[in-house]
Amino acid sequence: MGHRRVSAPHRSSLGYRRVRAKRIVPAPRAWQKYEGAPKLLGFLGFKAGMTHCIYIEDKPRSHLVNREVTVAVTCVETPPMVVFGLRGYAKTPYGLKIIGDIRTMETKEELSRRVKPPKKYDFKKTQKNFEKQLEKIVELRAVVHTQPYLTGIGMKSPNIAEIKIGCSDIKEGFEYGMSLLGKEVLIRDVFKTGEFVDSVGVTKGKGFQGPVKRHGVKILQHKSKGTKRGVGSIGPWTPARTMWTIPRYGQMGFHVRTEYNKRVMQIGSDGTQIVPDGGFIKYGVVKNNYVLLKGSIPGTKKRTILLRTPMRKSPQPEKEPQILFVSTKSQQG
Amino acid sequence: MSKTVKSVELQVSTPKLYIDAENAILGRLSSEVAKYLLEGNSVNIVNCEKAVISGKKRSILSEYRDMQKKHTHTNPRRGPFHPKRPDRLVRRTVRGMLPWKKSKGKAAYHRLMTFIGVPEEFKGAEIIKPRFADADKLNCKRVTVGELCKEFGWEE
Repeated sequence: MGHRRVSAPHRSSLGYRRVRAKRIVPAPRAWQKYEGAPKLLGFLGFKAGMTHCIYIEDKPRSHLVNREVTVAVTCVETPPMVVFGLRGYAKTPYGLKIIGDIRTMETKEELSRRVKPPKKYDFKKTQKNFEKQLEKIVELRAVVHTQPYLTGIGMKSPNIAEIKIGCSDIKEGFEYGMSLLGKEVLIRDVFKTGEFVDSVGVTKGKGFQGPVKRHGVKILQHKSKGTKRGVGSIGPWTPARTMWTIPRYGQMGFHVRTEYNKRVMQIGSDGTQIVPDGGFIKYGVVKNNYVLLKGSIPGTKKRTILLRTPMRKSPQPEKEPQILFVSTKSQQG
Repeated sequence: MSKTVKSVELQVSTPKLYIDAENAILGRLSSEVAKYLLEGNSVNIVNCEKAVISGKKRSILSEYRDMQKKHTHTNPRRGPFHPKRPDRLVRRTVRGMLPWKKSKGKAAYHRLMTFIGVPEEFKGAEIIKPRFADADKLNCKRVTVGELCKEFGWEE
């Protein structure tokens, strides 16, 4: 053993299920355990495209510290989100269960493209019922919708998502949530420049693919019999079934994937300073607030991305990055 | 069509039993419950996490761990599945004592429900504490199902 001819590392990870995402607006499996003044723990945005910037490296252990470094950055357009509901979850032996649900009737017209407001609704009564349940509630989430019609991407219907309200005391969190109800939230209220965030999103769909593209199996020599872009052997005589570990054809892409600790390089409101000449390809110009994230994030352009407060405990950078230059060179031709 | 009619008849005529599994020996309780079920009764077991298995914790744990290793070799996602939550574990134990491959056994299994703690909707109901499975008569060490499940990763 140990020889490449005898044993080889497995082609592609078995840790992920390669299935299509159920919906395009991501719902993360977990939220950060947050203590402190109440705030929303996530923000929805639209991926616009990538460019690059030059900044002064402030990672103390980097060998390039205090020197100018060029990095690729992703632009996420983040028009203000609107909070239109509040949900309270109680802990049961079988998981979290909704026991309180409030929504405002004073919502934007565009929201009725997704949900129609109830005909009879007593806001004060619902609020009273909600307040009675407050002792049982362990988690509060704001029901928010995005405003894609403010951007240039042509989408009219808003996306709806639940975002956890981080708070050390549920009553404080409830008051904070009620104060937000029917109002807009800005990206600056949620994240600061220099912080790490997690990005949750649906990756680019590739359709039905063979094992070479899907799992990175080697292409066999051109004289091989039967198949060239397939797996040479899909298993032994007995057991006379195919093992689940064999790299096979099937759906590739359009999976929900979370990427951790993306650094916020810049939060800005004037898109003209970072949009390349002629706009981002397949996106256009950025009209609203935007975030520049270091590195890449999964998904196509125009896709809805959830930015979440980081789940993993890693030291947060203390300072804001000092950006010297953002490339606005045309990306066409 | 005849099948569906049968199940409706059963549901209408079945008396419901509420059984408290606190301090009850798991196997003895399960076998008796299986009998009730096959007679056509429906049973709700509450306080499943407080049921007791006799024996040393280490040996019981190793037995369950051995059982959990058993799965389809070619694709573990096809089962058999080994529950790690107390209510599911008790329900699965009873299932092992029912003729699972016959429709009679399957119908009996669907008449059984198990719960962690006592659900609020059962608070007015008359809950039986079975004497035949009382763990007080044991002269040996014992483990509760809840303790066992915590080893498997269950969180209360």
